Amino acid sequence: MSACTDEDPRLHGIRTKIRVVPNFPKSGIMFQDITTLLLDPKAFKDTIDLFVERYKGKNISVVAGIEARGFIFGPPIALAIGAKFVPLRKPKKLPGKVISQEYILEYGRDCLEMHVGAVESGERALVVDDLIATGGTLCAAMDLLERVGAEVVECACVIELPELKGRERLNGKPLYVLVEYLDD
Amino acid sequence: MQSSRVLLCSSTNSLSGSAVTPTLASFPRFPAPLSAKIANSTSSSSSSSSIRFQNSPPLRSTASSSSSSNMASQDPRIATISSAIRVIPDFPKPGIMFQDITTLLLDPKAFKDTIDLFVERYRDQNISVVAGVEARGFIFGPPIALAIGAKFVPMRKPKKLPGPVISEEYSLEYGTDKIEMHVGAVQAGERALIIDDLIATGGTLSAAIRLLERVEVQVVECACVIELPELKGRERLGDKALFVLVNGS
Repeated sequence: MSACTDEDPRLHGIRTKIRVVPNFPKSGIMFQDITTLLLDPKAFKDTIDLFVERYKGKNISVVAGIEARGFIFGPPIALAIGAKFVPLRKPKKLPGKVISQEYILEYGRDCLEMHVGAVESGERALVVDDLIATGGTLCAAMDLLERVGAEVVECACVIELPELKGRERLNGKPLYVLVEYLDD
Repeated sequence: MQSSRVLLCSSTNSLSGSAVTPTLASFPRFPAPLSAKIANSTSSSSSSSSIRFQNSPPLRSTASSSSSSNMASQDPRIATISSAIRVIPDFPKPGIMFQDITTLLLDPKAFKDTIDLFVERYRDQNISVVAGVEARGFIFGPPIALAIGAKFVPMRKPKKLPGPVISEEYSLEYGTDKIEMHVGAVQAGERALIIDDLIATGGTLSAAIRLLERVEVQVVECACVIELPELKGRERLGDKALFVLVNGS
């Protein structure tokens, strides 16, 4: 793995705590398991701190996190920068009125939802997830926010799989990640 | 904080002492089980170790029960938290009044207060594990874990965790479900909290307790933002203590 920034010393600890699980959920996929990072309080704190240092004081009022692992990283960031946390969920989970955004998967489609009224026009937002692969889910998340008039300032992920070119799918929206995984 | 110790003295446990003038001797020292709650809940008279409610606010569709409390005035954060929770009728099916915490998350101060209330309770209790139940437990658990220096362990629906897991089944109204935890996430002898947004029947939480106890972890307490007391989830937790901030009733 390599770092995407000038090597902040904290990145080494973060990188080494991520466990790669081969052939999950299916053959050929090297799954990036962040649960082992969460078992190390210092590494988890460093992860959050790196995002908070980047986004504090930038007038960001919304942190949108993608179900379910975005729920782990998004709220601590939101709390530290004084923003609201907005969960973006699979269909039928959110109880109130929602707007939905469909997106394409390798086979078939999926859908992401956000509560109506959670975000107001003109708000500045981050989208947070543990990982960016093809970028499909992040795109759907950005669409949801932009449809209600929010400005997506950046997408933030712990891990990027650059070979899947998700960054290109983000239509020019900035992406910030802590570590890249390159399959040797 | 002495005032918060007063709030912890509720009628549902056997703590003696008056809620108004507590003496140190009458409070069990943590980590003795404290089946206590900070809640906007009804309670009996002040002659028992419970808190007399005054000044009921107008009924509104929030998670707070119909009466407000001295607790709200003793800890003003509870009232804000309670009023930030939205109740959605007939979700996911008719007759269910769903307690929606997403509106709480839209209020940075109320969300921070929620976390602070838990952190203040647990920070000096030598807790090394915060286990959060998917998915809304993932929202509250990590900030608590980070603040108290504990690891965060996600407890998930089947087939989500990529590594070897242990599973625990539990009953639903119709059928069963399972929660899973990664093998090796916790060690025997660790002290753990279990976090979820809400306790209803207690099925999920009791499965989470069993999972941790199977690997010899000591479950110190279960902590939820909301309790639905009519569903008697607290009883399903056996001897495990439950701490909640508000009642939904």
